[in-house]
Amino acid sequence: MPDHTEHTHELLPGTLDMLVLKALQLGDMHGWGITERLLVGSGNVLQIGQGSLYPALYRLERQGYIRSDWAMSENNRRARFYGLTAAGRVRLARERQAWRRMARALDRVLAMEG
Amino acid sequence: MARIRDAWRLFTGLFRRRLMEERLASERSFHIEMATKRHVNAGKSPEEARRLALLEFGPRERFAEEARDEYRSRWMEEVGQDVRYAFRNLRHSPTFTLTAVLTLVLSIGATTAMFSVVNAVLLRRLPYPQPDRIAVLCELNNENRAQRPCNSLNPGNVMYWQRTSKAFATIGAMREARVSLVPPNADAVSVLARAANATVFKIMGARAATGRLFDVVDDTGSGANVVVLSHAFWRSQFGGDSAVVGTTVRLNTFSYTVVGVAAPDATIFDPVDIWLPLRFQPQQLNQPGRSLRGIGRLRDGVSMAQADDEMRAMAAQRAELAPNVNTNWTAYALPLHERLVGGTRRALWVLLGAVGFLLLIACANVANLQMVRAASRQREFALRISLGASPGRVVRQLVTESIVLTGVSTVLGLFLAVKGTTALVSLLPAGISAQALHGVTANGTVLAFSLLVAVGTGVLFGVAPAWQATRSDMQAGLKDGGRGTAGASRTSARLRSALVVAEISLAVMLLAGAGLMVRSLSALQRVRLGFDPAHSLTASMTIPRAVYRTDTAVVNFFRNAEARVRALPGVEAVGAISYMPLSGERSASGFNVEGRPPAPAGSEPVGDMRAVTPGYFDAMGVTIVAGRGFTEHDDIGSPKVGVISETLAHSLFPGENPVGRFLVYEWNVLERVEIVGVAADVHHEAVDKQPFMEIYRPLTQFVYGSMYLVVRASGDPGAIVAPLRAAIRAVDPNVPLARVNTMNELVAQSLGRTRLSTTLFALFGGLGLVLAAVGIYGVMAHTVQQRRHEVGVRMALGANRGMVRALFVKRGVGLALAGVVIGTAGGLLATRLMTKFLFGVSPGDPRTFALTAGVLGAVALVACYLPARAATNVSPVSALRGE
Repeated sequence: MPDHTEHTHELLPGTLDMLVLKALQLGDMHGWGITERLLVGSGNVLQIGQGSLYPALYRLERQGYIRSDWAMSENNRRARFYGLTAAGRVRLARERQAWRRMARALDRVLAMEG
Repeated sequence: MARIRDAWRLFTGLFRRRLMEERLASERSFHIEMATKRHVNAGKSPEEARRLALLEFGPRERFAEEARDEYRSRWMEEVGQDVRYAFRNLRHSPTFTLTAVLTLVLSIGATTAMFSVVNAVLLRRLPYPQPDRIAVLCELNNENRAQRPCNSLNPGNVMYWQRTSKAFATIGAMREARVSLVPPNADAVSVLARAANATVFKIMGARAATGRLFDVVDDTGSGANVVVLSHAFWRSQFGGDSAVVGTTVRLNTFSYTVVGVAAPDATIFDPVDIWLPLRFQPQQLNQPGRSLRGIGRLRDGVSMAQADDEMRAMAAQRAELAPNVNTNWTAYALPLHERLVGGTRRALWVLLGAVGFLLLIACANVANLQMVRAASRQREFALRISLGASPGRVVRQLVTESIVLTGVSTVLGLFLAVKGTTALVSLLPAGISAQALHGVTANGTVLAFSLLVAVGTGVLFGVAPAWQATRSDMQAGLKDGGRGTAGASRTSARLRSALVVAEISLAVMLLAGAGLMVRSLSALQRVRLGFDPAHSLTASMTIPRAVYRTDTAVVNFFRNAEARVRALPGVEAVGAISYMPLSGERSASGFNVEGRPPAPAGSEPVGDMRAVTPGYFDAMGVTIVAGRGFTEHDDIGSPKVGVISETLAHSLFPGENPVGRFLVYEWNVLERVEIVGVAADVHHEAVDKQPFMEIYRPLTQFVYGSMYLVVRASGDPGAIVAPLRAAIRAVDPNVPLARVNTMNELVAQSLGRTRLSTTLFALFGGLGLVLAAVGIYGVMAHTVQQRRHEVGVRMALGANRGMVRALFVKRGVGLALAGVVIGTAGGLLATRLMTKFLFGVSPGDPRTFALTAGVLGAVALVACYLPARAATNVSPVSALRGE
């Protein structure tokens, strides 16, 4: 049984907010569900530490990109569900665009041949 | 609905920690439960799964702390943080904080104290209805304009104005005198009485606290003997007992009925103890003599200028109707406020300006200190920004520090101001009307002002460093360990240099002003007063003419009194005079020299007439420079004699011996007086005023019922006050002593305003100098610190210490020179505003300015040299190594 930390990678700085927003674009979800979505979605590569997830959630909520509410989870437990706000959608779109540009640029640099 | 409630919770969560903790705990336990479930699904035992989940989640406290940070860090929270951080920061650099706070406390305190005086004296409304509609009426002698810009009024003229004036709705006159008051069943007290027309109360809009004030009946010749008590006198003498209304008191032995007590604010000019009616008799219309003060309330729709025109026109009419009284005289009106504060207005504004300069220097200084500090904190800022703080947040932090600094300083400064204002008022001498000073306190206006000052100060010195912080390149700041990059530090260095130049030039201006004041004061102190104030005591005595009906009785009273006082142990000499030098009282008359063609009426030479006893010149230390003084042989029936002052002798008898000549003048009857001696000039009016022409007459031939006693003691004059009172009581218990002062006190009072202005100016100037020195030192020290590397290189390459020091000193001296030049130019302009209160020195006095420039130059040189020396004493190796 391999330790899960072996196949998770450290997140690129500044990308957590974008990933959280993306996870919530798929529908309202609680904190745990967000980590699950990101883990599954990344093919078990991105394991988000709780220590950074919750501060990020509170920050995004304060900044108005997401909202939160109490609701019942799939196993009938009371949980805090987060969802995107309009501002959050806009921000996600913008970050995504910026990311694509950055990724393309990095690719091009890395593909340079001597 | 749930969202609103939640938002509310989120908001109130700021204050209700528990709600937030609940949410955190709930989220955490849910998360751990889910993680446990996953581990169980993956085949772990429930215990192992839970252990792993807890481990993954990390310590409870760290989660709570991090989450809380995000959760709560909203605006107010951040401000709170900033403030706490600011306090922590300031505590960690005590030298900076202490310097800055001290600088600010002193300057804010001084500014506020100065402003509360200005506010009370110049800006506050006088306590009358429509105070700007009240005018003061003055007469003016064309020959004597400068000496008496607002002369007393002739009663006949006042009667004429009251009858004729269209511009004034009401005109009232008043006059003050000391009288002896005997309350029922008590000893006599000397009180200051003001005889006034009933209209004076009407113009003031005054009310009675109890009983009534005067009305028109009291102004008529047939009115009864009535008296109105001032509120303060009523409280102190009668314990505020309303039963006093209707009782009888004795004034100079006459019976007067107390009809009322004036309200506390029913006062004008200087406060008095009691009010008596002032009644004009028809025969006064054309009688000479000027003794009244007049005020008037403008009729609706009439301007002050129109009233002034009418006064001049009426004076011209009176000059035709009563030429014996009014030839060469005119009259005018001016606003009451102008009359009350006219002389002090400029002095106060200049002092407020000076203290404003000090405040500016303080601002520049603290800004400089902040910038120097900010520059050395660039690494900290860079670190904070790279850790996620926005540049805006860093700027806000700096501004918060400034605000915290100003806030603390303002609170302390206000405290200082309240104390300082009390001290200032007690220092302020006669000259500012007591009425104008009444109520100098730190009130709402003053608080608002100091708040404005505080905010202005905070912005002034907070903006520069914040601006600098946003300009500097954070990454570079991090990389080179706080030495700053060339571009950013060059702009900020330029800004700092500009601040230093500004500081120095302001300090030069302040110091130059202070220097001029000091030189004025020392010139005043060198003035030969013409009398010897050491060891002398003076007191005024007024005897009731109803008892002492004949001249002989009056003369005998003073002879007896002097004899008894002379017999007291410790008394060296005793004399008396009708109007004391420096008391501000005088009485003048035109006169002619016998044997010369008389000057036309109204343009004769004018001399002050004073009655003295034979012992006066000796007791006062006035030298007789020619002829003789008076003796006991100059008696009532003996030949009429007089002693003149040197100024009179020089003006009218240049190159001649006046002794043996005769003066003629009219004083009730025609007088012909032989000059028997010449006395040294005495500064009667004030130390800074020229001596007048004086004519002294023996009391026996020029009888006054009110005299000032002058006693020269062998030791401390204060010690003979009690025996003196006892001695006078023994002669007549109904004659109280009043205005007991040592001569030194009178001289000090006369110099008081100059001394106060000088003290304040010197204080401001000294503080300005210190602040400027700190400023230039700070900047040079920082420059040196920043260029240590360069110093190391230079010295490693063979430059000697002297060369390196010269490099820095040259730069500092350049700044100082620029400041001195600008400051001198500004000072030459600004000190012109001070011309009026300088004595014996011109506003552009080159010696003062040269000295000021020299002092500042020297201070600047030292402030530059010290850091330069410190730099070159470091070994090149350690300098090159950097940190």
